[in-house]
Amino acid sequence: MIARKKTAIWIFFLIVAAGQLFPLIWLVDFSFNSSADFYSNSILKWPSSPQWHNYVNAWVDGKFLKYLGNSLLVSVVTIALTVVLSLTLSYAFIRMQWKLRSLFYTILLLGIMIPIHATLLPNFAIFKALGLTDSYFGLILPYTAVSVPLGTFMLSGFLRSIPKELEESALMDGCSIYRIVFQIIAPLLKPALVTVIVTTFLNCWNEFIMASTFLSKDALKTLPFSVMNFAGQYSSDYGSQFAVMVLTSIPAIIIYAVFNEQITKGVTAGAVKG
Amino acid sequence: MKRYSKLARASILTLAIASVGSLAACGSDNGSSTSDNNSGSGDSKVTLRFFSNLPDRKSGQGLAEQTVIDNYVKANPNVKIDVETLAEEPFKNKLKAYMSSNEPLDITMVHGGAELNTLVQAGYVTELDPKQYEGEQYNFLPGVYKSFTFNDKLYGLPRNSDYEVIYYNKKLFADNGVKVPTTLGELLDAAKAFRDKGIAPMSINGKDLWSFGEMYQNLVLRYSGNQNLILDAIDKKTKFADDESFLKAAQFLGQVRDAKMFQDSFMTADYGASQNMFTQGKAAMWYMGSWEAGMATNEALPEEFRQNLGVVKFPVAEDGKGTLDDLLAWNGGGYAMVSSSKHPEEAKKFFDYLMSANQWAKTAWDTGAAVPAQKYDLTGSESEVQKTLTDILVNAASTSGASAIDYGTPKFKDDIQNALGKFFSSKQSPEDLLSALQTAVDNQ
Amino acid sequence: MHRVFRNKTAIFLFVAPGMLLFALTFLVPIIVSGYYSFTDTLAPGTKVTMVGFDNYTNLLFHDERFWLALRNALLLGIGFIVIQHPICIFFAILLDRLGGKAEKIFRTIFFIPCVISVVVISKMWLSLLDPTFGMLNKLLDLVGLDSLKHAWLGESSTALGSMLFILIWAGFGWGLLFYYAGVKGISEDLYEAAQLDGASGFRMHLKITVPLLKPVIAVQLTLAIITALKQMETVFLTTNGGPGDSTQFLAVYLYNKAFSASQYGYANAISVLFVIVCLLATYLSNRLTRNDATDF
Repeated sequence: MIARKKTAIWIFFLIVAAGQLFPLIWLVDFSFNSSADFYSNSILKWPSSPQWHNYVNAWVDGKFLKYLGNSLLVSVVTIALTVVLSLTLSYAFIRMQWKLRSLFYTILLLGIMIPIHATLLPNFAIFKALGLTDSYFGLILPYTAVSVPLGTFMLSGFLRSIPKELEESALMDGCSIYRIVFQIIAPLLKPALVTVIVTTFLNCWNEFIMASTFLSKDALKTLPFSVMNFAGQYSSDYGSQFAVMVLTSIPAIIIYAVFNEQITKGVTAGAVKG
Repeated sequence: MKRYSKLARASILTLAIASVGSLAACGSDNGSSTSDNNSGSGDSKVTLRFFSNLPDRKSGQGLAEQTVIDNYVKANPNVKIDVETLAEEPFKNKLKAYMSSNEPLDITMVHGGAELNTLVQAGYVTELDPKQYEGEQYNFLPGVYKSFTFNDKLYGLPRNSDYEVIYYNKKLFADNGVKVPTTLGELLDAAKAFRDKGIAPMSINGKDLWSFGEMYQNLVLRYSGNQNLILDAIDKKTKFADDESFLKAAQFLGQVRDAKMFQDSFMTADYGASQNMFTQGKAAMWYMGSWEAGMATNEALPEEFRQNLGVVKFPVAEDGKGTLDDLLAWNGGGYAMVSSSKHPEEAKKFFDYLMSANQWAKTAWDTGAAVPAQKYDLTGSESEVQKTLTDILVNAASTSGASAIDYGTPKFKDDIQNALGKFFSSKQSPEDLLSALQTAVDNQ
Repeated sequence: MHRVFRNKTAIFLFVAPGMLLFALTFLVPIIVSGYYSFTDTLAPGTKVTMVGFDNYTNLLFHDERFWLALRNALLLGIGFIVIQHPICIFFAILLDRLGGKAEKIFRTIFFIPCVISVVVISKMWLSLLDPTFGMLNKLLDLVGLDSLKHAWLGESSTALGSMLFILIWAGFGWGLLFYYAGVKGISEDLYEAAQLDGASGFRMHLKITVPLLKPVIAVQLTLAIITALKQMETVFLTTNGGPGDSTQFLAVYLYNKAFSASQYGYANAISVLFVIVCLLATYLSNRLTRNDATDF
């Protein structure tokens, strides 16, 4: 009875999984086809001769390696900053005693609700005035600013559920407040930190409106922007456009595959406590 | 060193917060992060920043533009030209962002009319002396400065003679026994004939919306025979309700909509997508401008398509006063110099070089990329399409000089385009369209 | 309480950098927006004329596109709540029941679309839903349902629905993961007790799982409404608000007003109202779900 039920779920899931993955398979399939093949009648089309040069175009003219490097750099620094700032902020809000903390906490959390697009243009003018556009920091700082409110919110929830005894006994041992936060609390928050890291990564890895508004130097551009740019350059060549989309998707999928377990554990442990 | 100064700047954030009002002013004296700007000494390398809407540097106008740039750099080894390109729509947005922050570009592509007007009002582009561009070296055709002149001052130079035509696929017409349309009635017949065969009759870039505006202007011209009628309406000298040509043109758009003349995906098709439909032989016609002359010589396109590419004038209305030779022509695209340039003298030198008749105009024509706004010599090796396009321009009985959608403010352009977009994606009546157009004019 | 927790220097060091960055990216721009929203500026750097509340009165009383954008956000939000979230909960429960290796494999697969860039997702679906060469119409042809063929994103009647579909496809994994985490947190004993009472299957979950998931649901619903309101990238890259404003959203509208229409003052008034609407929606949804976690 139970076994049969499980088989039913299995089959149902297989169908849904196929539905989830099919668009991606379609994307890969047609990245090997020429533009003319797009208008054929078949849903998937085995290319008569795989158009490898689509990938050559994507790799060379899409400047894949350079943009990948930029995306990695921007993401890693953003994640590091977000983790440190969210950690210290949430600790100050939840554990420390000061007058304006609930006011500041509320204001910060408004950042989750405020749409970044509403502030895009003034943002550009301000960052420009500070000489921060057209540099890695021009992206890292706004990305961090957008990620910190959500990060602080997640960490705060988790922090509330951690008993204070550990910190108190650490204080008895003469630990400084900084050691407590970074050496005692941080490891305890690991599951929640993983969630923060993942959401931050996905946000800044995929963001493109700010990337295209704030950057003009080609040497600084990130992967999503290259997809946009490439679509202009190869507007008549769908195959090459698809190839660059496949290429940009691969790193994120690999990173996900590697951290898959931690992500689930992190979310499972962290989310419910929110 | 550089990093330190950035940190120092970051530390004055608090000040910035206190002085919100002065933010806009701060924009002008920013220290840009471009490293090589020691323009003082004559021998050192100068880097010019060039911003263009032609990302494809391997064919058509992008190739022509790049060729001129390469020529210049070869002749002037102390100059380096950084080219930044974006596709049309992102280009326009980015240019606004640059304008709002006074980015020190040197030369930028501009769209005449409404868009350039905004740049002029922001003081972002430099005034030019029209006298300097008279004579043999530049050879501009008469009247081409219209969309680049504001308050009798010139702010940019046109790169092309732009006029609306219909590109068509000769093979699709021949194979299906459809007559190439010369009247609007025949155009609808052709639309029905191709629809019956399961072929998209005409491809258009409906997502970008502006082609709808050009088509409406074209229709008003065909019904009224008066190039200035629609421009007068925008100038509030007449009303859309006062001349029946406006209504007839709107009614024809309604027939186009009901006959499904455009491809199925027309409302989501951007420029590239609409062009692909046509170049892959999936649409019989493409409503576009003379700047696409380069298709005939673009080797990235299928051979079979290029051999079958033809171009015709926009059909006449059977009951209209306009003739086939009344041409919807204007000068839209061009180049301007940026006032916040770090190297105004070097920039000017390159700008003059670019606009010389034997550079951009000649290169664009010889490579078959576009029809210039300057006099050019026929080489004898022109493509069939180029020859026809030349004939259309040379034989034009009248030209409009301005594109209606660009004739008012940017807000007007946005409003009128959206009114047309709404019309094509709903069942709105032609009368409602007219009143929407009138509202757009009134709210300028 | 130990005095270390009142250490002023530590508090300042912990709070100042984050708050400063926050002020720079959110507060200052909003103040700047607020200033420009009372002007009729074409773009920053052009002439500034104060027009008082004109922009706001125009927006609220004469601009049907603004209200259309709000309506679309509302419809999208309802779509998320009525379609996406129940599906996610349903799948989370099934996934939990499956157990073993399969549970892990499917969980992994279902999440994959979430790591794909929104640029890729938008361009991919634009092609998939293309009436001429897209997969969906070809599929309908294949199974003989060609009467159902549409220019999905290109027709006013189907565009918003198609948009919802794309967003559900792309966001399914996240929702699932959060609800799955919630389901995992429910003790097995509760189910056993319920089974002893004779409850089983669907009704058991309705009675036990869903109520216990309430805190997760509350947070997720608030986020769903915010997501719907803030919708920008996917729309911008597929329909740009069209056809005929049928997929218009505040962020897209404001972007186009600021950039294409050169109505910077007006766009900033939209920005300000946009922020207010988002805050109001959060407040209301917190009130409705009466949830402590996001109640601030």
